[in-house]
Amino acid sequence: MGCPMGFGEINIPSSRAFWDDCDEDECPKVEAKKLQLEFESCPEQAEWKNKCKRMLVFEGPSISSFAEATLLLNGSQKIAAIPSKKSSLHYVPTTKLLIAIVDEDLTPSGEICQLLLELCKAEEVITVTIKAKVEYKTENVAAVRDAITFIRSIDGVLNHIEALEAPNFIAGVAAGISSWRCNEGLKTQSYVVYTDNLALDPLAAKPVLALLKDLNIDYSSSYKPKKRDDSHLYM
Amino acid sequence: MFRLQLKDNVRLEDFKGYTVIIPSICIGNAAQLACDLLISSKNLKRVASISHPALIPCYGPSAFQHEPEEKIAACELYSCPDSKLLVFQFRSPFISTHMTSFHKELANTLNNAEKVIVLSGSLGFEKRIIDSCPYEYKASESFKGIHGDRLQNMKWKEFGGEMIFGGGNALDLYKIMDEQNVPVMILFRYLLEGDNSTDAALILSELSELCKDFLALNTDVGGLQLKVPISWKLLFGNDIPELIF
Repeated sequence: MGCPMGFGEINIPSSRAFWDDCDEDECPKVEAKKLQLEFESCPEQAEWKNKCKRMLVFEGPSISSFAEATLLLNGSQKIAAIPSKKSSLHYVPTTKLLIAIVDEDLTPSGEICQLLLELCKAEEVITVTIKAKVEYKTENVAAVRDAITFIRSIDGVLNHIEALEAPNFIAGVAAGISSWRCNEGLKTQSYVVYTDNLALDPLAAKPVLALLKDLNIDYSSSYKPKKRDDSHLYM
Repeated sequence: MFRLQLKDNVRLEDFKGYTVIIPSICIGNAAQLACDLLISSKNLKRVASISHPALIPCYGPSAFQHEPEEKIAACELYSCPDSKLLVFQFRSPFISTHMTSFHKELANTLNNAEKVIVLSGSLGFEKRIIDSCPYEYKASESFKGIHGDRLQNMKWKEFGGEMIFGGGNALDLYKIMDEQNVPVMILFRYLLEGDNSTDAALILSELSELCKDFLALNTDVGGLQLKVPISWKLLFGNDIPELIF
């Protein structure tokens, strides 16, 4: 299904059963190796395990540099590496906040979600998912046409943020944690940030920083995306 | 790890003797669309969700107008105790390296079911005899033992091939269910990618013929009484902006 097409090659449609590159008649029979969080130190006696009050899951494509520069202030401790691209888990002792930075990688998301759910049961979980604006479905396109970044929520407590409406949804680790907690009747707020600029430059990041402020999450506004010299016009 | 989250004091044993309908993730997502229609038309109640590494988690506002407070999940279970019906819905594709374990866990969970019907689709150009019936089925011996008479009354052809091309995980699930002696049948329609909402209604119409005693979707004047779910809104994305013209 995921094979790159050659010129003139006939594209035979496959089923949509598998997200990873697998033909339906070649489904592997051997179970994949189990993923593990790579802890910096033994988690059993760690302070965060018992004292963590809130958990923030910040997820999106290539968001690790933005999230690290914005959310990891002085005093935050890295707890573990999450086995997915540039993802990691941190703890801020002063605010008793656990921060999971997840660089979007949907293939292991179900498994990572279960690892994080087993890790700790925070009283409150907030998830922020960054998505491209083109993925937002609405009958009123004009209402969001000029916004570089706008936010929608699922069970959010901030009244000025509109609720996400069907048929929009989120997918990935944040979605898994929210879904599981929602089914268990536990407190969860999910926010979806739709943006034209996934690199989150200062202009695009403004509503995200305002959201963090409203949620009483400490942040730094000093992040500037790295300037890239490569052109999008030619290979 | 296979996690079944049951709601409102529902127990797994409550589904003993139920007919279970599972969509495979097939070409055109036709089977999932058919289950959407079935859940919406019969106002089925959400009773559980499943999470597993094979499923990409998803979460969002309710897909159905009759349950506005619910949230969508990667795998949802809906039931109708009066009809003894349990319907699965999948909202994300699978991760192939975890599929065998997921199918086995699913079969273990459903070993009390009276019968399991897997809905699917196959690539339209794989149908070699043009004017033959566009539906085929594959049923286990245990399924034929219970419902053989009904199957004979249907116009469907029995599938004798090795592979349902475009059928997704249908055949793998069928084999694992059959190994565990769960009465199981696959019903599929030959179709092509595109707007597959009509295919979904047609698959549901055939299913309704087989299960007319408890699906009860037929109207007095013939035809089916179907309700399109809100999740089908903007099926092909937003309107085209006028500015591009």
